[in-house]
Amino acid sequence: MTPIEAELLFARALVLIGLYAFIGLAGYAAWRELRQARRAAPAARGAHAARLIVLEGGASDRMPGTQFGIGPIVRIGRDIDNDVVLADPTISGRHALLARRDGGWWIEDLGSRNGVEVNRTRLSAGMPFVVRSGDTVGLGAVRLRLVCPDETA
Amino acid sequence: MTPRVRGWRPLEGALLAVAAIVALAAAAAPALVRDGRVVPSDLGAAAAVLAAYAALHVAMCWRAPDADPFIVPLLALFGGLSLTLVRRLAPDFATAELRWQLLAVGAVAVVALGPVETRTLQRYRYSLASAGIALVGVTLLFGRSAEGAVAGAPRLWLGVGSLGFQPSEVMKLVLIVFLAGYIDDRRELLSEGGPRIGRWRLPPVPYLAPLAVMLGLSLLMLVVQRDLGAALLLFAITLGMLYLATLRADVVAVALAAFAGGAIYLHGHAEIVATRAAIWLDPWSASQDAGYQLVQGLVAIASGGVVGTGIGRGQPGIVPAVHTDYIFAAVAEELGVAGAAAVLAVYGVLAWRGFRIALGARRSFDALLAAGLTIGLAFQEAIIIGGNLRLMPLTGITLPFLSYGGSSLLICAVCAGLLLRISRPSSVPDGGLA
Repeated sequence: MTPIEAELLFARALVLIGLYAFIGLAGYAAWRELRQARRAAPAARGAHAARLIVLEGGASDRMPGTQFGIGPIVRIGRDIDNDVVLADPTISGRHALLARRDGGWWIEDLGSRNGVEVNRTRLSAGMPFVVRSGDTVGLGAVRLRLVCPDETA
Repeated sequence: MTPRVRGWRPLEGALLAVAAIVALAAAAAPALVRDGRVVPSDLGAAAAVLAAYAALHVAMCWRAPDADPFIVPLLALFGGLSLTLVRRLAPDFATAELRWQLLAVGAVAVVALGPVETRTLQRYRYSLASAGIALVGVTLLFGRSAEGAVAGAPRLWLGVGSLGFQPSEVMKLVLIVFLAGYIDDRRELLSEGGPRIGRWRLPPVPYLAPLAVMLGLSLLMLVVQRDLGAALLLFAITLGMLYLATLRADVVAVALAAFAGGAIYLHGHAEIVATRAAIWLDPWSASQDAGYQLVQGLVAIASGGVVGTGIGRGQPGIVPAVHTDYIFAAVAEELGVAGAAAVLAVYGVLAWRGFRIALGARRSFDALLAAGLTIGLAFQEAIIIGGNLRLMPLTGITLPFLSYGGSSLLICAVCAGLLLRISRPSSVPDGGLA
């Protein structure tokens, strides 16, 4: 093997080894990033609480996209002492009750004038109905979406 | 929390060093084959580009220490390889290639560190979209073929005198910005769905209509110009972004059905589509005319073997358009399947970082924009490499970052610069634009 051939072989090897070293470094960085994310995960879990997102605000001043963080019992209506206050004329003072029970969410029409819909199905007053993450809840002219990231429902 | 203003970027530095070794070794090899020795001028061009990226690295430490550490080394690696390949395969373009590479570094720096925020793009989304459509329209009327191309080649260029550019490249970026803005405005509504028929929920037609008009116009113009690769890319970008934003499989199904219909119609009515399909299925029977490029490309790839002939020792110059559409065949011939797989993996790293940046973005427009840019680059790579390897019909587009081509390189650099900018958490204050 002449010196030139040796140099050429060296250059070729350097190109290939360099390319794979680049990929290896990237893989190592990816592994470290994943490990860090797994350690940080438990701390971040609190941020994924259930919430209601406004899709249509009706005449209330709630803009689409507004989010309400919610607890296990949520009173929805126009009166100021509700947990989620929707100032729209089509919303009754005490319109609906959203509550967590038996590992799921249930919504009940509290005898509202304009009714409650889940995914465009009208509920009978006084009959609780299951709501799953991602479902749309219609109250008068307002529409909300329930999102609970921890549930795969 | 006050953002840190300066900081070392050790991972970026290490990756950049590896990229420099690859680029310099690749630049030295052809000189060894040709002259039997390496003189400094053989490495000058690669060294200049690497120095520019090193300067960018220092500027990033100074101005954007939190930005993604992979993008700059990836650009340096591709830039160095591209320079070496183009210098050898198309010596006439060597000077121009060096100029474009240095301009690309400047473009990345200006987009990533300059004063223009992504929300400015968001604000002017409709103006940009109109300008993009107008640009393609003007090309339709006044466009010209690439210099030295055969008569009747697609007229995709717009320019004055010796300065020219390809509007379809600009259109790609404009479409991504427009889609990110449009979808961000209406995401909840788009994923919500429209009227129902029985148990089927129709897509929300009124909200999809402007999107379809924008896409339809750009596709029509590109198909009339016979720029099928760009048309396919725009379609893939739109579909990918729409699916990411809405997670609606039915929209994708409808769009794919429309695509299949369009493809079948064009196969019957457009000669170029029928030819492309025919030579894809059987290039060998037309190996001296329509299928010549495809056959020569396959022979080049096959002759590479596992570790390749070595840079400078192959004969990829036989393949037509090897410095643009067929540069992957040159890589496969000279670096072998080992090198070609490594290049694919490096493109994979780019896609991974792009989606990571999208996931970490502060604003939903930024997330959609980063995802759209990544989808655009990934599909462009897949379309042209797939075409080279005869996995799908060949449509002429450039391989991002590696092919020779000023418009393509600059637009890809702007895409990379935007990804870098979005990855800077300290640069974007929350709230603001509604």
